[in-house]
Amino acid sequence: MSKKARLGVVLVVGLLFTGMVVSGAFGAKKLSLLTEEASPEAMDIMDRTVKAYQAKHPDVQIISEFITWDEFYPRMMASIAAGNPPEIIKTDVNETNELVVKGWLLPMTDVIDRFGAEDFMGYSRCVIDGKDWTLPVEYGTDVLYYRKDWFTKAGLEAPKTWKDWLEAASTLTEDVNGDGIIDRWGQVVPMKRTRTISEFFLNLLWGNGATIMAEEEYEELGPEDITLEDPRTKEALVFLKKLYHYSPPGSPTYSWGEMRNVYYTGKVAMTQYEGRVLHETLTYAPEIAAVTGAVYIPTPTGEPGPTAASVGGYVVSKGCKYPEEAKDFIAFMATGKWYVEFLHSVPGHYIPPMKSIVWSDEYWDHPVFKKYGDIIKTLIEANERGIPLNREWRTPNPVTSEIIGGLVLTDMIQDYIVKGTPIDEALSKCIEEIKEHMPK
Amino acid sequence: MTRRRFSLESQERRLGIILILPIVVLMAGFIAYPFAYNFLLAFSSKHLLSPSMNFIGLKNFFVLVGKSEFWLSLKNQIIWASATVSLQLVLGIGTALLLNMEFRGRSLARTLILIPYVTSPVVVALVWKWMLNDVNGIINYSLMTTGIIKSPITWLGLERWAMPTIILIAAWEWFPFVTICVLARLQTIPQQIYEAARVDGSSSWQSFLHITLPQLSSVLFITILLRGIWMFNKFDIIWLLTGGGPVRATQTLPILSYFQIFHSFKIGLGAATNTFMFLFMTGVAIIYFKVYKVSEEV
Repeated sequence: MSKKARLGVVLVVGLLFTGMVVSGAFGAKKLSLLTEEASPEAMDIMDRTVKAYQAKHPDVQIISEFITWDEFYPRMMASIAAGNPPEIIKTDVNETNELVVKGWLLPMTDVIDRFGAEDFMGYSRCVIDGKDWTLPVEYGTDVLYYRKDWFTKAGLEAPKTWKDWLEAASTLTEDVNGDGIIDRWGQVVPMKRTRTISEFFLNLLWGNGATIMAEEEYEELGPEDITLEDPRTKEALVFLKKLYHYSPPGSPTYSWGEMRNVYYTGKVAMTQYEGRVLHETLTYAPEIAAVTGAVYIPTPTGEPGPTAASVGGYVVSKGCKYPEEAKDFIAFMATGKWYVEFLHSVPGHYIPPMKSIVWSDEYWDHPVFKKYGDIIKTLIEANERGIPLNREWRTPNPVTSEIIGGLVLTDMIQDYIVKGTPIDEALSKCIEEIKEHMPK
Repeated sequence: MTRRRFSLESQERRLGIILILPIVVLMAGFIAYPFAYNFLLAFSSKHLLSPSMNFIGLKNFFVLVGKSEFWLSLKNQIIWASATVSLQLVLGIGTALLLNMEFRGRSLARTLILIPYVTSPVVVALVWKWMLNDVNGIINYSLMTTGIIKSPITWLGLERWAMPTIILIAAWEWFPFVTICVLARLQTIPQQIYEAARVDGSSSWQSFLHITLPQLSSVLFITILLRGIWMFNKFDIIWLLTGGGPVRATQTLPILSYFQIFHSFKIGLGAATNTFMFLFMTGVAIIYFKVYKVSEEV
């Protein structure tokens, strides 16, 4: 065979091979997945779950994209606005409501039925117009983490009331090494212009019996339903300002990550969030985890109140080309071995909303659960009072999602606490902003 | 003969059109269309999640100028752009003059000076944020151990410090661009001019003022123009360092537009902000060209 002929054969074989690969890729049912779970642990389990599913269903190809929580919301909205939303989205139930109202999602009732609707805890389901719109897979409610060793040394009890909380924050803010400079703070209040501080504030607002809006059907909502002028709102804001006094000086730059970081680096005595605090403290400072306790978020009376919760779940876009495959993949991720592995990837943070799983031996079969059972139990039980941000009246309210996502509350809190704007002025401005988001 | 020449000319013309067609298509798709669409959105009422779009004339612009947040963002943007460009010029010209001198290790210094410029803004922001951290950062630690400050300063968290801090970081990151441009020009200035001036009794300062600066004017014109446009539209470094905070102290118009679109879902309002930025920048550029022309004539 001549040199030219050999080269020709190689070229033809190469082209055929490329053609096979390309046609294979084109032949697969492609599903895009966007998720806000961008931690290394979550990405790892997601990759493995995708591979396991694809091995079982070679005709399906899942293309995953991971975005961190702070950037997720705008990224998701941008893709929807561009008319090209991902087919499967793992997002918080707060966003789900808005997407349903605007007609971007497919109902998920059939998927919920596979699991049994009665198995889902508290407010984890997203039911609008009698249909389910998400498959919730993790349910996390804020708790207050505190340093048991410092509390004991200072003769303090774990805080239950706002008074206890403030006293502990004040007592534990001190100059530990005696150089005249404060080097330990009582409480971290993350004041960066993100949703973090809104969520923090909602715990205080709801704990004090106030709300953002009155109970009303979405279509009927009007400016008269804004209830932020209630004196209890001001009480919550004033209390937050007092707590902020005991927060590290860099707090205006703190969001979720920094809020946890200052706790496990031993700079603050108390922080609030979900189970990830325990996981990161165990990872980076096991000695601090050993002296960490968790209680419900204190309220003025000491009785546990409604607390901000996040419910992560999967939704399917209306434009999805293969909805059955998408739903099947979602159900696969929330079942059996792969689901438990996902839940264990950040132990205590990913709490299943299904009653049949949350107290099961399989879920509790993890060393962290055995050693830190008290904290895990507090986290799970907190879910009984855990309210997704936009369900202060227990029914979904897309306006609340929009004003929290739009940082309207955050701006008001920053104006009052960081900038020093008079409270009435900050609240009036906030109310005017909310009016702009009311349904027309 | 004439017919053949015409035929060749038309063939060349056709070839020319074919050759520039790809770039014309690309520019139309990636520049002209988004630009026109943004312009259209600026005159429309549109929610990010809603497909409907209603023409509302100039309403978005009236809403925009009626908001104190807009004027604050514009003020911040002017401070940011003018301060960063000025600092970059001072640092860039200074280092270019130094690097134009003969000294040992000059080649290495010329290479090292490029490091901030070639580093990704994401990396720059993360490293600076870490160094400026109030509880663990090396800058506060060094200033405190040397007794310069008594307690840590929240560089990015206090209204009075945030803007100066991000300006310094931005100047540090982008001054090498000015250095490269100025250095390249400095190397082409004939040494005889300086020698002649020295013979005539000119001091170093006089030589710089009357020889170097005039020789640099053309390169400085384009450098200021480019850096001005780039800094005016800058989003990434501000977003990564402060997100526009604390309490909007570093919020510029691109960040305001981002919030309007992706957090408040008001695409029309965000597009109006972008259109305003374009018109503002065009106005500044026209003035700049006119002023430069005058100074050239002088």
